[in-house]
Amino acid sequence: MSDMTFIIAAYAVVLGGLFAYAISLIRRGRGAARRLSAIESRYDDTAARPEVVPAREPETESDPQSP
Amino acid sequence: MNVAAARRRVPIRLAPIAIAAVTMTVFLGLFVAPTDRDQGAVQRIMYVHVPSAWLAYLAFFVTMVGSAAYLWRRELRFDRLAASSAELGLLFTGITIMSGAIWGKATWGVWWDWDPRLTTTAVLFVVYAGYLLLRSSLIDRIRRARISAVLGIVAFINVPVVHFSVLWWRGLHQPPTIIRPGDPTIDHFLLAVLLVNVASFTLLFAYLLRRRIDLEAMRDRAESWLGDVQ
Repeated sequence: MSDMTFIIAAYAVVLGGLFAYAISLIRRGRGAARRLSAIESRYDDTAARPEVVPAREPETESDPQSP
Repeated sequence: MNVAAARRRVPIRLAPIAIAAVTMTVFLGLFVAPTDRDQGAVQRIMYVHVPSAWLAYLAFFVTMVGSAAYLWRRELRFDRLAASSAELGLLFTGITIMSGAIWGKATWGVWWDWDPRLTTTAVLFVVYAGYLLLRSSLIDRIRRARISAVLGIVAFINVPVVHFSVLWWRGLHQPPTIIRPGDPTIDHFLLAVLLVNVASFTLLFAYLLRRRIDLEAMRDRAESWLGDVQ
């Protein structure tokens, strides 16, 4: 193999590695942002937050026979 | 902090600067720097191999500092810094090993040798891969941060061992030419190009680190939301 082949291979490894990592980071970042957005929108409504769920329990579990 | 705020924190403007700097690195290394008298053109691999190695050192140093800061202050942002930098350090160590193997094949005639520098670098790679594996295996967030911080400090001991291995033991790898007792043994023009390349790679490192920390912050926030629900 010629010197130029080795040089191109080494630069390809370095730049390719950095590029692949940057792309993977951007994709993971978008995925995490989407996931976080979905979680936040699900629980952002204070009525659906876990802290207020016990307050609804008496209504749902109330005895329908009682006056 | 909501998602929009998290996205705003990503330093968008740093990306084109870092890309331009690395492009300049390639141009300087391939076309501007003179051909080495002894090794010939293949020495141009140095302009990407050495900055990668230095960035690996820097990344693991940041991991060590972040780990120590976490143990001192018990704030998760330091743990996020340590974990993010360790991943980048692993990336740069892998790149260093692979580009070094190509350079080794061209100059020594072999892809790999159990030379002290190569062996200690391989150990460094395995140790930090273990650090990241350990992190992924610990579910409790605080326990993960605490144990990782201890490992992040202890693992850094290997970095000076890697650097000085070429002085302490005989091997194929050349001794240090810049960070060494006495003056650098490299030509000043080659050194200038190399230092510009190190600066470019450092910019890219800063950009990637910032993005990686933001990713970790979003994961933490998602974990804390789900933790509230469970």
